[in-house]
Amino acid sequence: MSQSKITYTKDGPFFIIKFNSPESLNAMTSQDYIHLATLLKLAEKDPEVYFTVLQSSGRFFSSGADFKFISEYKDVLTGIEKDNTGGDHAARETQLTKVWLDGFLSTNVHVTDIFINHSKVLIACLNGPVVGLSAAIVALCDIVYAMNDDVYMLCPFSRLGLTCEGGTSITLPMKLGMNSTFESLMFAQKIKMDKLMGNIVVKNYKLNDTDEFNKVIMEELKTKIKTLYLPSCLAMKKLLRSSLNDELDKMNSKEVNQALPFWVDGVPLNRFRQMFHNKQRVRGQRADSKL
Amino acid sequence: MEKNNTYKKGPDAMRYNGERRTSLSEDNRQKMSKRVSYTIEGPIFIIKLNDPRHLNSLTFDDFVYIAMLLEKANSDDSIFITVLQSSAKFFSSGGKFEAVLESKGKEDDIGSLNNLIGMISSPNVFVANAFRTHEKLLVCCLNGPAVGLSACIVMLCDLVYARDDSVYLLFPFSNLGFVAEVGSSVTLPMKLGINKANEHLLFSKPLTFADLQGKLINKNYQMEDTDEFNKQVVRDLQAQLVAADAPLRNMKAMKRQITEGTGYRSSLLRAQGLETMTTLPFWHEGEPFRRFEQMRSKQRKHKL
Repeated sequence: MSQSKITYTKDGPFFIIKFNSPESLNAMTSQDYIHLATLLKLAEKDPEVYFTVLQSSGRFFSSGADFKFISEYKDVLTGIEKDNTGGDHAARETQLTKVWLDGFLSTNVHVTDIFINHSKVLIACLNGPVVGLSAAIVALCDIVYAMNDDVYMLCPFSRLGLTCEGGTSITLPMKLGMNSTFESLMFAQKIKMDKLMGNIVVKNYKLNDTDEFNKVIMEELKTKIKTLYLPSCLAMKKLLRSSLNDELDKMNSKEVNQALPFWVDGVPLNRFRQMFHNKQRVRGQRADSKL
Repeated sequence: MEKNNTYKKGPDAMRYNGERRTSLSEDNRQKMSKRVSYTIEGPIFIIKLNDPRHLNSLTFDDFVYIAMLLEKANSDDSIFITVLQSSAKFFSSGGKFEAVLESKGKEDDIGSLNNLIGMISSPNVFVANAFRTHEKLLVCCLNGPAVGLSACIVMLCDLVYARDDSVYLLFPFSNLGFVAEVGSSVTLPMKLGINKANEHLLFSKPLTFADLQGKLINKNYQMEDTDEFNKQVVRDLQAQLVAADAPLRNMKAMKRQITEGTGYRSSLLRAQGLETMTTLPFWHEGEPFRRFEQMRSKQRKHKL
């Protein structure tokens, strides 16, 4: 599944990873995020690669976690809720912890780690909005280009009963400023282009077609690097991130470990469920109004 | 000596009546550098690049001389502000190709490696440290574009005033085959943001006035003539000192607090070692020398 949702091509020193599921706004399952990390490792190992470029398709860059994961946990959770532990609270907590170590912590910490420690220059081409862990990944990228003013980042961690993830407790204050970050994170607000421009996004291409946008960027990048000594680029990336990566590694662990008890309590799953049902209802209403 | 003296009230200000005080004779200064000179205007120590015919490009010795002048300004209790100025329409086109190419050892032996280490460390450790530890307010009168190591020095200043919007900064490290030097791996991300720094450092892309306004550049004087601009900035700084009436020791303490509180001072100290040791293998391998040679013979150009 992930193999066709996320594809890659190599073009000289560029390793291009593309999200190919516009019909679901490029939402990602755990499996998809792990596959993305696998592709990054491929780029990492390839000595011909200097730049890893993230592209997407359709209207959204990525809408974050795929709500479908909720159904995956339905059986597991009803099983636990039926209480096969005979009222043993510790045993119940152990079971739930095991579920969320597998379902949340290990995936999240791994994907974030692969992005933090990627040694190639990471470039994100934002064709549209990006949400959740996908937004955190974009915040970890070295260079970000935006297609137009419709682009925004959204980290709805507070609304989902989660905490900062994907290194956002460091990347957002560092790149957007502290007060701006507090407002966007605490109130789960969209971070729009007026705040992104110059801080995270380095160029607004003012285009409306995603394919054209992706194409124009690749042409520009090829012109930009024509006369460059590419090993200088990688050494400079390392230099610029020298103290940052230690901090990010530390916070990667803290972020997931501090969020784990919330998953065990069950709030995030319920919030995701509510959002999923709301979305279904809105879709239903839309369908009704069409009739 | 330092107590509570302000520019207005202090004993040195009393002595200052518009005349220029210099402690080196003209002859001596000529020996130090043909391209860099200094003057003292009351509370302001002015370091000036004056080789407009060569776009104020500098040798490694010139950079070391600038560092020595910073030390001199630093230890002079009558100085409140150190100003960097240049001449004509270019601030400085950076290191002289000839100076770089001369430093290339003929044979790959310990002696030439040792020379290379010296050449790399002198701007990255000695000059960078003179800027890092400078206690007086550092002001740059940016009369025009600055490139390479000279652009790094502009980034290290506390205040930057632009003559007009023709100014730009170019860090052509990736085009020349080495890496960010003289504190630029710290000053760019810190003052301009890390994503912006990545785009312009990795791709050797010039930072225009629009990129720098409000982040590095404090004010655009919108003036045509560089001499007039230089004079106006110094007049304005003197007026600001009179208006603020701040004691030198308070200004020094605040500069120290701000540079320590933001981690700027310690990051720059760390960068001296990191930048030196990251760039050295590139020079040792020889790519920068090949590319400087292409620059000299005009086979290679900066992308503007």
